[in-house]
Amino acid sequence: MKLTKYQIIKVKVDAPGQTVKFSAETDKLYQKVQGMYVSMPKDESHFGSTLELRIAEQEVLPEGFETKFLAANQSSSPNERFFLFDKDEMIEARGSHIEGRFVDGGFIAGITFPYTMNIYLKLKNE
Amino acid sequence: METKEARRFVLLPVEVSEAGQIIPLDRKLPAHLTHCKGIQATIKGFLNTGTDIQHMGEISILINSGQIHPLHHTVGYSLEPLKKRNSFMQISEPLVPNYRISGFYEDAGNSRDKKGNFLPYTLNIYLDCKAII
Repeated sequence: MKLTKYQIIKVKVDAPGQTVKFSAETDKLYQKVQGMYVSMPKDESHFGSTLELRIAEQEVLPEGFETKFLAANQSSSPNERFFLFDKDEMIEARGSHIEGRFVDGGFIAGITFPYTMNIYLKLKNE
Repeated sequence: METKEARRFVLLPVEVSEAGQIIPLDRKLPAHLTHCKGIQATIKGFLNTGTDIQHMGEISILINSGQIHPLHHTVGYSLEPLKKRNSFMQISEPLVPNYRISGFYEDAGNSRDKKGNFLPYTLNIYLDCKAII
């Protein structure tokens, strides 16, 4: 069995300032969520954008949590861009229900709508 | 009943509406928080300042009802929302249940557009905590 999988959740954002609720399930074949990374087509879309997230009915990110803490610019290597949870922090995967609420920050200069935000979950077996 | 620890972020927004404003902070933290392991103060959203600003204001934060003073520093603003890593300042402080977080934020009057008009903004204070759930 593979030790690591990157699961992608795609969230379509149609308009500036839009609130998008979404749900998904983590891959059943993996034990835990080790980290996450949020990618948007333009870095400027992170201005004021927030992501509230619950996995397995546990709060992972509270309402108002800015996505800029879940991303990094292009000078970071791909593995460095992940927001990693602590080693002793157990966020169970195994088909856990994911509930999310994304709020676009409303920045429009140079941003084309609709755009797709990708949430990368790093799943792990130990 | 089985209890376990989990990460909980605490977000304390501060609205700055006038240049030079001094905003006291005084809030009771949820009693299930046991430990504070990170802290960050950052300006939310875009401000049309035309340039990065090193000193938007000064923040001072005390936890455990004033017994611990983990942060007294300037807050800056960048026109680039992403950095190599927007990370938290690491601390390691146990939290006493029902004690308060306090301190202040003092705006430096530098949040201005090219015409010199003051730009109101929101400062988000984040605490990266452990909690019993």
